[in-house]
Amino acid sequence: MPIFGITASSNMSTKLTDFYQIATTTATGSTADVTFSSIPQDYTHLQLRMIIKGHTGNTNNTQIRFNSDTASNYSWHYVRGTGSAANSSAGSTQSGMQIGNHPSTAVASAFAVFVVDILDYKDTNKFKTIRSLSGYDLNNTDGVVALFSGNWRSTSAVSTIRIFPGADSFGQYSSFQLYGIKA
Amino acid sequence: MAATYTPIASITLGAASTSVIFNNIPQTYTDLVLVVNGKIESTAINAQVRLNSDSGTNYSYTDLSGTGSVAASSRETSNTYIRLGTNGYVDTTFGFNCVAHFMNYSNTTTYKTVLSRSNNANNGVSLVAALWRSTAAITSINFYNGNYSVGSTFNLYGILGANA
Repeated sequence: MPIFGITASSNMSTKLTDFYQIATTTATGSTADVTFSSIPQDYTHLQLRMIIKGHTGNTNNTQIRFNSDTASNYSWHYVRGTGSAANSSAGSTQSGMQIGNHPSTAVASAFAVFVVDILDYKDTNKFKTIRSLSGYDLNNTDGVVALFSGNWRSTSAVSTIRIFPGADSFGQYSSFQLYGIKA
Repeated sequence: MAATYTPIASITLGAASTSVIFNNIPQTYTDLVLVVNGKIESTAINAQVRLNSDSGTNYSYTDLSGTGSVAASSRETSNTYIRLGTNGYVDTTFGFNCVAHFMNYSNTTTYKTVLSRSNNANNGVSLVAALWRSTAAITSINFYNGNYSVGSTFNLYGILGANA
């Protein structure tokens, strides 16, 4: 029996979890990078939810750094689908963590999407580990979907997150949301 | 800071259904998250949805999947649906789980990209990035291609960004 017309309701005010808004940034033009600073130390985990595209004609990787640390204290792994093959790679002693790829301006209104979890971000007893689900599709020969893991070899609490492209800059309407999750 | 991640609608099938639709989705959030735990009455399918009743060739996807022995990636273009999972994950057991993120669903400037992580413990796991080539805000999501069984659950949540 078909069920038609289940009406979604905006009146269900119960929150699923202790999931809190922290900050939002939206690119209004060519944007070299996005930084969330003075991150509140009130949560257990952080989540970044983003839509990103490049400013010009090149596909690029997307990276993040913590606390303005530009030294070789990062590493990452990924498994990725390119539309024709699955592959995997890694980077060690890096100056940032790759979290995925974002598209060029080939399809003007299409963006890559990212959901990035930063676990135990304020725990000063642990190196920080992140996981990222990301992907885009342009209805042509370009598209990628990936699972990344990254590590920052520091026990410092994460107080600043910088998101930046491997080259070029972020394009208009790229949008970056940061949330906090309480245990 | 304000709490978010709000339940919008919840469906638990009391009878098998060939169509499950979320209509009149409120436009007051930044992202939607759809969580499904389901099975189907007969032949296994890939979970597929259409947005805003659009049955045109305006959808495409790129996927990554693992079967337990092989990892692979594929792509389809100019489809008439968004595929949320691959390899026939919706079968006659309650093995199909899916969490799909409909990012920036309510803006009217960008095409909509959906990121779906799904699995069936019996036969594999996949991640899909799907594109709907429309700048319209998403107001409805329709599972249209299978006869879902009693007890299948479909839960829709809204996440609102700060200052959004």
